[in-house]
Amino acid sequence: MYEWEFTEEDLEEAIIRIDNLMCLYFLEDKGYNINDYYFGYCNCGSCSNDGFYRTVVMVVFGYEDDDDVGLAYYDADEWLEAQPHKNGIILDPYVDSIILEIILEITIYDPEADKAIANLVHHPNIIHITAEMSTDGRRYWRIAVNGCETEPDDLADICVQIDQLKGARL
Amino acid sequence: MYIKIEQLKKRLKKIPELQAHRLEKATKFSQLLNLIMDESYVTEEIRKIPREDLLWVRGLLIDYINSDIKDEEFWAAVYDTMFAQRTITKIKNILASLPSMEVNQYV
Repeated sequence: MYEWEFTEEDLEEAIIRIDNLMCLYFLEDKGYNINDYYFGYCNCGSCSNDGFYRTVVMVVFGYEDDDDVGLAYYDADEWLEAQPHKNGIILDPYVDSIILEIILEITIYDPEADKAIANLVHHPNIIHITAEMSTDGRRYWRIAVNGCETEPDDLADICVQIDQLKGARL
Repeated sequence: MYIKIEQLKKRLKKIPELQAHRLEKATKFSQLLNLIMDESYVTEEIRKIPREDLLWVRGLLIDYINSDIKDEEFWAAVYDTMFAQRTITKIKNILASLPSMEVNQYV
């Protein structure tokens, strides 16, 4: 017997990698190509599963690199204060007994980003979703979700809804 | 240069204190886990793993986390096979990166 065994980090990484793969298979079952996409987990202690969140967006939107996908984490109160006129958003810190402390904001550049579609997307973890235009004239989706509770499966569900609604519009 | 790959391979197959079916299970688990941990992209190798096997590995990992009393012989076999497999892979990779000769010419 060797003098090593599974550490907590090893176990966490292995389980997350498997969950990531199962998430990709969920997307494949919806008709998306998952070949050669990233399912790994950095486990460096600071970037969590961010690489895979980007993968989920890339798979659904058909992007080959992650240049058009942004992820940012904010303190919930600070995030709300930064919203123009707070966008009518009311943050209940204890919605359904889930503490809302961190906001994960996902930005996806997409020429088809459309506010009317954003209004039709529903998921319990969504705090705010909209379509905006950057100063250089590029359209993008801005999706704010509960940063502590949102798993890649949740983001996959949100992205698939957007994609299906875009398809239905055409 | 002489590297004992054959000895390592034998060690991989020979853990006498474990019953054959449990050894087979430990070996399968180790191979799958090594593959999942070593690869980060959806390759052909990754796609060969049936989904039910992914869930089986996940279930065993969850059991390992949650159970106070572990099947020590089984997990010892897992550690042993994982260590041997990783060592073989590392040696093969080192040999494969060397110029001029095929891997089997070094061993």
